[in-house]
Amino acid sequence: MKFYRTYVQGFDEVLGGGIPKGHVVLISGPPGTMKSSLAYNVLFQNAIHEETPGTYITLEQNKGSLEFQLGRMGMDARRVEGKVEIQDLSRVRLGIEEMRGKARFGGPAEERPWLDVLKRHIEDVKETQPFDLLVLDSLPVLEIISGLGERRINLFQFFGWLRALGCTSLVISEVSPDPNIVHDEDFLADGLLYLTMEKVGGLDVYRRIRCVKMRGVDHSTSIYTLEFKEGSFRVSQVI
Amino acid sequence: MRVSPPLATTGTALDDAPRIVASPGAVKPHGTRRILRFGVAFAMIVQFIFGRKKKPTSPPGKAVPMTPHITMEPGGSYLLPSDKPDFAFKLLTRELRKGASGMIITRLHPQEVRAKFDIGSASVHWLSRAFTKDSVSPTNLGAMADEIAAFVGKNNNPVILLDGIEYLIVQNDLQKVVRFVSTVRDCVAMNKARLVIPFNMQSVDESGRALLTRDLHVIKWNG
Repeated sequence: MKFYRTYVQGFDEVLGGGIPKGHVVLISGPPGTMKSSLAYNVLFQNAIHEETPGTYITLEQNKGSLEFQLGRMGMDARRVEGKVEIQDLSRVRLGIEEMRGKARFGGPAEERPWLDVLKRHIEDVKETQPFDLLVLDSLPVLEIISGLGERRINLFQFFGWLRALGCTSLVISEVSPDPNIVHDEDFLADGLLYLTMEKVGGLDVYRRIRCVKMRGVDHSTSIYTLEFKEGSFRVSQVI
Repeated sequence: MRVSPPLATTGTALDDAPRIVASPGAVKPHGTRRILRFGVAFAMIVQFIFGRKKKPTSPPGKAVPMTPHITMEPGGSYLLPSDKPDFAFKLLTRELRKGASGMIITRLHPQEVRAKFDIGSASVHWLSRAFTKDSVSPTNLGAMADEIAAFVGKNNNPVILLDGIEYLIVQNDLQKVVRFVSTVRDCVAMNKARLVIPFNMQSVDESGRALLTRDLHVIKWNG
């Protein structure tokens, strides 16, 4: 089985080698937990070290802002030019929201075609610029665009479509503050990386990461501290 | 006429055994007895110097008599009761001079450490909330334990000085710090490294002392 390394120091060992090829993996967590940076890091490092082509589809943050953010973290998009493509679809989302405001229509049956448009666009990108790794940022925005009516069924179909693309997908998701709420996508995805923030010692807040599931892999389910230091991600044990 | 002294000794360094040089022809009638007396005295000195070189270490939790020649055994973790880390630094520098690789985690600023102690190329990690390249966060105990594990895994004959346990207790809580020390101690034992922890025993109560010293060799000394 082929694995894609996360290039998070110490975490690939936790995952039993990395993310298995063809998996749909959710990267889930509240704001500020570095979900987007972590996902891009997988594309960036695999492009540099393994020559793996990747595509990052942003539905929320625009390309300029994203590139600036990543550049500040040492992941300059120019270093992976021709290997990693950032597809900025945030304008599409804004256009849809604007149209919705004007037309005041928005039933799931009417909005469903937007998801088909997005799928066709991704298929076109894959045809013209083949990629093995895909990041979709983010699932909540996709839901706003497409208005997934019967959520679980539609997500099941969408994740099936992602697998059929023949690539490995990282889908960024948000979580409810209540850790007891389990989402449909948690069941449907092949892997789930859960990011949180934890207050320690009264003053400090640390990012934590946990591999909740990764199908077909003997992985650790422990919680680790996630840090970005001196240009790279790393995990350490929690004491 | 040249008069040679009946006996002469050479060698003054502590570690050099003094050599007795007898001058032939200059021995007087009672010289044999003198030589015997001197020989006995010499043997006692040699016994005193070399006999105490290797001190036994007590089981974890028990006190170990402290002498300047205490041996830190590979795999051993030692707690040095002290309100200042200076003597622990002296123990470390002694090991560094013998070729050990050193890692220091301390409340002292790295510049101060380098100015005050001859630590050569040993790495210094400043235990502080300050956000600098050399600093390690006192609340990120797991990262600290991983740094130590990486150090002992990569270096030959590693020795770690872990100063500032009192500060860690203030920033975290005792239970967490006990878990941290146990984690580091296990890592040291597995990798045949050595660990020395200066610690003010008055900073915790009796139950805290019992928890902290349970898995460590406590060095008894008059510091």
